[in-house]
Amino acid sequence: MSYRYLGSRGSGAPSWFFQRVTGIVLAIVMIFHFFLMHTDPASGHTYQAVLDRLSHPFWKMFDLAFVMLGLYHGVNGTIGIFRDFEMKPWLRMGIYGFLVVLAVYFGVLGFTTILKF
Amino acid sequence: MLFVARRLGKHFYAQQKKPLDFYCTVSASEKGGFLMNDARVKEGWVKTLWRYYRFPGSWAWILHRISGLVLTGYIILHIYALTTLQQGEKAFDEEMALFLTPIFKLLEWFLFAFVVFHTLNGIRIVLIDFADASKYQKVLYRWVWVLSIISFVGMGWFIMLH
Repeated sequence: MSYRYLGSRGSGAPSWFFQRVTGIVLAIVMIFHFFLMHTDPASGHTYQAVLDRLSHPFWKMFDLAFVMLGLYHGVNGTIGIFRDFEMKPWLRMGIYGFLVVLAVYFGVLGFTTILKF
Repeated sequence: MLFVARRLGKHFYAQQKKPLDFYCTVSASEKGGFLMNDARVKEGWVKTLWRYYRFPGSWAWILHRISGLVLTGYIILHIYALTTLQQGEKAFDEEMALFLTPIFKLLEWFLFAFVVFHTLNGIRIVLIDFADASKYQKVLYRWVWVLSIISFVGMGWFIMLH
């Protein structure tokens, strides 16, 4: 009948879902990150300590995941804020594009920093 | 994704128990929606605040949004600050010495306020969305504030000790 027009495309369901999922994972990872860095001030605040930590593949992966998830959650949330406003298509795409490029740029910065060691 | 969403959707959809009229606080003549008001009749900001923001859920929404924006800005600054690692030991140690000064510790404490509110309210949102807790949303909101204030004060004490 009119099945071609039914469906939930463009509903924003994946971004809704992944905001929640990344939010929970970030909350857990952040608690670990926080207790690692701040219970012992030396353990994240000197070059040597960071080097020692990053030479361990587990912490490397931990930090990489943190960078990716944090940027996804933050930028997706900011896009969600802009989604609430009416604007011309070129402006909307410009703002979303800028935010995505921001996320990718800082993601690459984070990756190169972590993977360098 | 669509396959999964359709199968899981019926578990995540919160049941509405009250009719929609219950939530609408404007009179019957205005019920067409905010945009149907005459352009001549502009509602004062106090009245708007009273109309939307006497519900705790509205405050939860706006504070969550504001803290989220602040935290997004922070994470970008944080990633940028840590790229100093690539410039060698001396540069990084100098930067870290700067971040351990009292003024930065104070800023870090204030940042923690945003972090803890956003995290706890986020957990409240996940409970409302996935655990069908919408009838507890006001109670959860009170708990968010109580736990936030306790964590904030505890954090201040913790920072002062180190």
